[in-house]
Amino acid sequence: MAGSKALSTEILALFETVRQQAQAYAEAFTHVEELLQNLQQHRERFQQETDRFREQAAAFLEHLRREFDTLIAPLLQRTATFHELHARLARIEADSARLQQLPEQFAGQVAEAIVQVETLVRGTEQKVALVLRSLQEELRQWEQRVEAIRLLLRRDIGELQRQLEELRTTVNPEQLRRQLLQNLEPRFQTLEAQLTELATVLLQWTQEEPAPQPVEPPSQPPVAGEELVLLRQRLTALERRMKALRIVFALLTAGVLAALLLGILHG
Amino acid sequence: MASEKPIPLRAWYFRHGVPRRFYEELAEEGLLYAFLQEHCAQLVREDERFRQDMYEILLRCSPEPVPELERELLAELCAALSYFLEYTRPWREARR
Repeated sequence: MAGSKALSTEILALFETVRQQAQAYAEAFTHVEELLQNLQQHRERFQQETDRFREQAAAFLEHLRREFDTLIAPLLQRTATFHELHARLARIEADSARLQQLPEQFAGQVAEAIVQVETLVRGTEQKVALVLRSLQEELRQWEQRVEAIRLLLRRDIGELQRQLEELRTTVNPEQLRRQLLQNLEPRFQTLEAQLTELATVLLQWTQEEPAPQPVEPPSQPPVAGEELVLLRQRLTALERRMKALRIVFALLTAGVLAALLLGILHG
Repeated sequence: MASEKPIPLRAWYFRHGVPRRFYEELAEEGLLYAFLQEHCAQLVREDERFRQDMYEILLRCSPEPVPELERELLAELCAALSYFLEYTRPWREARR
């Protein structure tokens, strides 16, 4: 194109200028390409260095972490031990404070317990004394009744023997026996009624006892001597029970006192 | 065709070894461009290879300047420079 006659000189100069500038641009682009290649190489090298530094940093951090764990583990263990000791000390202090307060509480509780026990013992003694007194009173009353009945029976028997003797001397024995039987019948009926009442009262009284004995109602009127024997046996049994009750009450009182003493001694 | 790497006209011409044709004689007579516009206008417009071939003959054999050829070449130069400017716009704007 340089020696062409188909283009004017201005156009040729313009094309030459453009060509020169294109060459300059090409050289510049070549230089830029070289710079880009260098930059890419630097970038790759920097990337490699960065990766290597990152790996070294990770390894160093891992090593540092292991060292830190190695150093910090005994410290943590000692700290835990110290915390445990501190907690124990706090518990010991609390227990000590509580122990210092214990004697006062114990003394107050013991005083209250002693007062309660004394009140209970006093009340129980009063109750037992009342029960004993009432039992003795009832026993005395029953003994008086039995003695009166025995005296009445003895008098009636003497009267009957005397009348029988008079009748035997004055009246026909057969007639006397008949009349005597007619006279004695109302008395025996009265006596039977009294004995029945006495037996009923005794039966009620014995049923109030802890171990009641079944008493059958009299199907037929017992004889006066047998009733007396039965009454004496009942009285003897009552006296035995009273003795047993006294012994049991004494043992019970001794047991309660011993328990109270043991309780006070053992806190 | 457009995706192929552009080859210098002279190298392309000598590589293909085109023998002397009547186009050279018409160019030496200064009648080639008028002939092409009159008889081969569509072929010159649509066939890149033929157009470049004709331009090369005109540049090589024409005895006097051809203003139409100059205008065509300047238009191509303008298009190339526009492409260059468009291609380098990011760098220029970044530099600005």
